[in-house]
Amino acid sequence: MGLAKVVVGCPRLEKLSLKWCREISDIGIDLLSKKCHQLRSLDISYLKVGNESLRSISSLEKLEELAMVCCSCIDDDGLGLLSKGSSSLKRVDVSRCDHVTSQGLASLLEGHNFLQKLNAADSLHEMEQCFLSNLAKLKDTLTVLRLDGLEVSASVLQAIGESCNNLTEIGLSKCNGVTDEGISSLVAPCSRLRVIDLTCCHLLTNKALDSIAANCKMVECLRLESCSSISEKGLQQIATYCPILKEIDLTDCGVNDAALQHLAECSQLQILKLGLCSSISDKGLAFISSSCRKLIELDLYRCSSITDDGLAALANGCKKIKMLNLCYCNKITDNGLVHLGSMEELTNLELRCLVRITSIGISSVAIGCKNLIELDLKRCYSIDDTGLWALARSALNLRQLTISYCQVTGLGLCHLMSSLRCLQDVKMVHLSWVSIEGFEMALRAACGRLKKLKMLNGLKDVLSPELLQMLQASGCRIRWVNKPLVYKD
Amino acid sequence: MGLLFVESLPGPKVFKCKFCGVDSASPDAIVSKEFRGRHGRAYLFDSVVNVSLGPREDRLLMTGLHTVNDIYCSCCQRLLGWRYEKAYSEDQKYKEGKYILEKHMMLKEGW
Repeated sequence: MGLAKVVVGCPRLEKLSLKWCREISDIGIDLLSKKCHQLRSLDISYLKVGNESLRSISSLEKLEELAMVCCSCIDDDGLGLLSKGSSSLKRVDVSRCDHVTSQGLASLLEGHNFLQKLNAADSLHEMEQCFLSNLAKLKDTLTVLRLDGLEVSASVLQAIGESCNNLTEIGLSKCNGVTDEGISSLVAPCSRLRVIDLTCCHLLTNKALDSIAANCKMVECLRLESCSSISEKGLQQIATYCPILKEIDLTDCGVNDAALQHLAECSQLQILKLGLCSSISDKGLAFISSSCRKLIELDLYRCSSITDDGLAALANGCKKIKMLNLCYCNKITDNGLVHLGSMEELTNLELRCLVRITSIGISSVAIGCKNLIELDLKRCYSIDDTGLWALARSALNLRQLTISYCQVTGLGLCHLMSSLRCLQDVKMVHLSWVSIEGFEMALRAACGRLKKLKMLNGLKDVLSPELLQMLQASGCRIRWVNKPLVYKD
Repeated sequence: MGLLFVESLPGPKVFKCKFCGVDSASPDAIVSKEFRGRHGRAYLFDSVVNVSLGPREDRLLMTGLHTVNDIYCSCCQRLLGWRYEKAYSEDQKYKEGKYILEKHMMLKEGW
């Protein structure tokens, strides 16, 4: 109904997104296709529409972009119908469509040979020859290809490389069968690659990095999460030959300080993810801070050897950092947080389970980081009301806060909720020192502003129904969890 | 209709719509206090929140010809002021892209 009104009233519509509007059916899409001929971009992701919708959509002659993420009712027949219309499509996203196979994609490519971006992540399981041959027809135009979750082999990768040598972005995240040989033959002809996603390609070693370094000098983003066989030698090659590297994801790769010494050569680096690399220490951070001045995002999740000195180096060198993850780096104390206070651009800070930090450290962060929007203090057992007072006074831009398991009382919580006008999302599970009255008053103080809450299930029965109603009426969603009280270190 | 998206400003001092109480602007964004609106005094702001723009109109104001959009509170739809889209004399160009909120339509919180 609503869609009909939009469609009839706006015949010159060029861009429309119906993502997640689950009540829309094939009839609605049919009406849309009949009335809005100027449509260039359409998003029908997550809808329960079927092949008939694609039949209707194929009549849209100017359609350049079509997104159908997770449309499980669409299959190869639908894609076949889609290719019968005009060959105008440039960007197609069929990720997470379970019933799409190579056949369907092959027919899609038949019909639309000016395709620039194709995202078939997590939909295909196996690559067949029909799809590969049709890919070759897109030689000149295809720049972005995402095939996450696919079974591949070295010959498949070779074929892709040879067919599409204008590729700037390739996605092979969680693909089975990606080997060094396959990567070599893929990147050799594709010297224009800028984004390479090899997340969870466990078989890769330094040889793959050598091939990338040799051929893709323009690489800006390299995702190597869980490629645990790579080491500093491969990264040395990357750092030397790919000077404009901006983003690198080495989560769970087991890299060490020597690797960071090499990576420091990439002075344009903006995003660096080193989660689960427990051999990284302050030395490595010192290398990075001395030359990666443009760093914006740094992920040191569970890099447990980091201490306050590492943070000192970071604060000195990387003044533009906006997002910093120090969860479980439990050697950090209040002195480290004082250094963080000098990072004026900091917006997102995650400090889970830093058991040594106290409210003194939080005060320094609150006063210094005036742009702080998100703060995670889950399991920082030594944080008490003083920390909340500091946040209430100084962290005026704070929108998201997690204080689960902290030693705070109702008084601090109340003050926090009434002072911070932008606070929308609060996670407060297991605040054992806050009384029921404390919760009532605190939640009432911020009632109109809160949009997301996470609290212990037991509170559902003891908080007044009036309060819960008020919260719901102002659009707040509450997540009730049932977690046992366990202390972790 | 669905739920309205309302933006909050960090405080503690905020100008709010007098009728429905949603945040409109922060005193940090004041450029000048020397303006006049339909109901009296008005302030010129760099940025405002929770407003919707009306259509473009050419108006002859006290300072000359301007192209303006009326701005309405996105919550209660009352007319709060206007936005300067274009100014036609050089000395008025500084107002382009900025917003006028009438003092009569505002209430102050946090002073």
